[in-house]
Amino acid sequence: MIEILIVILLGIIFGIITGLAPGIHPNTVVVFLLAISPLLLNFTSPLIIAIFIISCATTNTFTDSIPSIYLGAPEESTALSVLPGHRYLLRGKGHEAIILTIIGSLFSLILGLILIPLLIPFLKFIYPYLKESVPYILILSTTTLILKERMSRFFALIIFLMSGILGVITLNFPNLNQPLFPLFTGLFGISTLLISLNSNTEIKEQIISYPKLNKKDVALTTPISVFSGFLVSFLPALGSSQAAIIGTSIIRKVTALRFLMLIGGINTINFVLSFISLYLLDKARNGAIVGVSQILGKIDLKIFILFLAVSLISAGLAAISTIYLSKIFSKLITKVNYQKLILAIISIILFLIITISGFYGFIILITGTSIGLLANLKGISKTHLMGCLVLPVLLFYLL
Amino acid sequence: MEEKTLFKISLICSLLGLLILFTISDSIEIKEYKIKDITTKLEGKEVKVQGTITRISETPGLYIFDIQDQTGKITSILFKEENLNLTLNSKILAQGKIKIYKNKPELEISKIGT
Repeated sequence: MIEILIVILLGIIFGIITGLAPGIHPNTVVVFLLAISPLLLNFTSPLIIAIFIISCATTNTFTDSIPSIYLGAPEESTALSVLPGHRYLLRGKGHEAIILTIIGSLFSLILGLILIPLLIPFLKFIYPYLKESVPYILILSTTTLILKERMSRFFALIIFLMSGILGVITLNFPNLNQPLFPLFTGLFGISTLLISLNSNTEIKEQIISYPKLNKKDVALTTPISVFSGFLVSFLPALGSSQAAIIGTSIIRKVTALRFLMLIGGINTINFVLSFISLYLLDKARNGAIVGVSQILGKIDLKIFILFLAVSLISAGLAAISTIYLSKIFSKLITKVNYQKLILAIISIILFLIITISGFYGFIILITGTSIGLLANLKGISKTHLMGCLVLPVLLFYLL
Repeated sequence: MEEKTLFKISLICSLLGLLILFTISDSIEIKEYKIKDITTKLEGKEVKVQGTITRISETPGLYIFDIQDQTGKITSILFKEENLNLTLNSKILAQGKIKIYKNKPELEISKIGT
């Protein structure tokens, strides 16, 4: 028991590190663990390694909102939170934005766990019908989002297609390390930072305040997070970002507050509900679960429940750690000159991308940044930039 | 910088970038490996392998076969999209990504030629 608790704490520490460092995903830790697993298994059991992975990945779904909102350096799952999060930051309410993603995560996790006894038989029944419907779900949610675009539907379609083409090229680019890093940092991160730089934005003194939520916001976003997170947790080729597309296409009025809660919720619940796919269908739908399945093979009910408990403990501690870290970031971010900070962040990201993904990663970054800027300058919702993942998945199914 | 100018620069950069990436990705030559040099470190890499098919089996969605050269043997998988006219002992040149399955490297074939 003590061994399990220690490994959960270790997982949380690694989850915090991977969450805070731009470009380092828990999958990197999983790949490393798999590579050294023959050595590790001399000291510990496969179950302990699996618990570490789950704790690390659950924590990461909380802490990864910090670089996304404070630094504009997102991962795939938090990319869409950059712009609304940035708006909160510029108003001196960066901490509130973080709290919203945490509330979204915790409420969705609790509702998801309550619903699990119903979701398991439901999945058994619905999976054979739904597994072929991925492209239709994506076409429907993308079309709804484009039609809902207030500024220009035509331009929304152009942005969707341009980012889609960039996604297709990037994901099929031979021997490119971490292709999603330059893709998402360009489309969502640096483009937003450049707009702030160009308009000489200054960050207001950050206030440690808590968002004013009404029951309707929670009652609307939580079930939609769980529904869309659940849907993509068992369907092949879909992830948090596609769940966000589905979620936002369902909500009629998507305010920044609801959006941040939705993204936080989807990010966590999508990961936790992917245990059901592993338990019921013996299918791993994300990098961390692939690692778990390679180490443990098929899991039984007892291990499934243990995993849920591990993610619940990790989520509680990750929420507390993220609030604490966000307070530190709130204080630090106003002590530095924001223009210089943006330049420093862009320089670090450039260095990391050239080091990790090489020269071609740099070209992807520039292209992605330009497409992201087009969306910013035309006032088009950045959700359409998710074409970078939606179009490749559609082509995979339709061609 | 004025928004109009920034918009024009962004439009030119994005179109030019897409064109450059498309051209480059199409023309990159994939390295051919001896099978003994394919280790778990190459996970995710696109490689070419030349050898002889020494085993073929089939599942509803996959062809699974072993490719052997003078240096070793690697298990390869190919998703079924069309009927494959390959027989035992055929010589092939396969291109694909290295995946790790049960701690061993495997070739997930995307292109195959004889």
